[in-house]
Amino acid sequence: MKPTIISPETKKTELIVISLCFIAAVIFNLGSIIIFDTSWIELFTQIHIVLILTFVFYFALLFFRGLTWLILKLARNKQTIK
Amino acid sequence: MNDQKSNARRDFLKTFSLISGSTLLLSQMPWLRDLHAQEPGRRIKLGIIGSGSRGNLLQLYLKEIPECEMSCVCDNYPPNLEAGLAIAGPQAKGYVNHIEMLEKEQIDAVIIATPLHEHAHIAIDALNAGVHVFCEKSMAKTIEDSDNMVKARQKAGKILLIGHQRLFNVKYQRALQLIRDDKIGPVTHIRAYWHRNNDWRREVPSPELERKINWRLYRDYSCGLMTELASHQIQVANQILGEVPLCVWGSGSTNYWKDGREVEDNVSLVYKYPGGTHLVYDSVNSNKHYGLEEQIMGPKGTMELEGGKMWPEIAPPAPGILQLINQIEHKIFDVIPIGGASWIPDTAASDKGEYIWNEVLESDGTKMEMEAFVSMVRENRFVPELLRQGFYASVATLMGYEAIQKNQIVNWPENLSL
Repeated sequence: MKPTIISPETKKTELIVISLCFIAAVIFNLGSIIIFDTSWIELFTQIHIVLILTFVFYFALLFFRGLTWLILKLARNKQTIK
Repeated sequence: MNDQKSNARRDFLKTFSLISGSTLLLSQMPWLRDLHAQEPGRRIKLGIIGSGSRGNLLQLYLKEIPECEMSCVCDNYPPNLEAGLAIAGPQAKGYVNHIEMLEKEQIDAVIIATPLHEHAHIAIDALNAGVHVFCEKSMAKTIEDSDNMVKARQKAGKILLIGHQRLFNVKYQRALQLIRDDKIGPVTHIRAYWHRNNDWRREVPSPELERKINWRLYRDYSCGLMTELASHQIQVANQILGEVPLCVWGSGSTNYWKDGREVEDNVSLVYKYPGGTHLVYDSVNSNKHYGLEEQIMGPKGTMELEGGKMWPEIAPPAPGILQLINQIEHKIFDVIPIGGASWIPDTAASDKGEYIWNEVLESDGTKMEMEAFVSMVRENRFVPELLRQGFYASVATLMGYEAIQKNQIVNWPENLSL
């Protein structure tokens, strides 16, 4: 198997994306506390759900990013053939 | 052996310290107050009367208590006497007659674990001989005998404790505290049951010993499911409601184990308490799916004491984030009904509830009961409430038995000694 090299730029991008996902999950939790009028302590007690949600967001985003990349690559290949 | 004893003692003290942390709990279990304050000192001498399987279990617990020694054992069935003496130790003397034992031995107390029909006359003989008495439940085979035991105790001024171990079970007493704290609101209904799927028989070495060994199955010696099982749960209901039943009606039959037994293999009863609360009770010997349980119900919640769990009527809301996820999930995946049932069935709640008591208990209360009895004897401290619980449970149990036999409503008797 060929060694995979992840460039520092890619690492940085992924860290930023996952941080944004985490922030989004925290906002989601915050919103749910306000909507359902539950205890503010859930900001901490439900951190495990927030972390799970972070990864759900991240992988969902990864799927759409991959899809976009694939479409763009196919479009570029089409242009090269012409 | 000494290490084992001190470990057992520490376990007891640990359990006790857990419950004695609550002054409210102690106010409901005053019989436990001061037990922790005892220092090792004088050892009391005990006589064991009836060393069958239950007697042997009590002996094993007593053996762990350094403040007592079993100086004699009495049983008129030789294999039981041998087993009892083996547990009691080499210092113990064996007897086949309790009168002879009471006359010859200098003992402080006796433990009675004989068949039910023997309880009353042995306990009365012991009390008349100036000896404290622990007597296994149910107290006696008739209400009159139970009352006579109370009278004998009053005359002798000694301790009489009836073996209702749930009075010493932390889980039960914690539940009682929660009920007093209004966690489930006023108790409006109690349902209790004890279901087994076996013939309740013991192996008999020769046919002439059938009635002696399987005494639970014959009316001369036992009231069957009522005195052997129901009495425990009726005691719990009485204690929780803080009342005795006004009346009882019920029925019983032998519909499965038609093997020559005289007692019923299934009973169903309703006890009515002041204020209109009912205890609905049943016991069967032909199905064990539901096991045993006491379900205490109120407008704010339900408790199951044997399982040690509690369910509020309105379950606490889930965390906001889970509610939001759930709502989104429903919006995406739920099927929109075009038409459907206009009535939602009242099926049972399926949530897991919360534990009444988180600690795993080593014993069902019997061990602590033995500790308490030894402690009471050492201090010569009679606790009226404990006898009241045993006596009232016995009377209510026998009322239920009478209702089944006569097929009529039986009222709480008047002119009882307590």
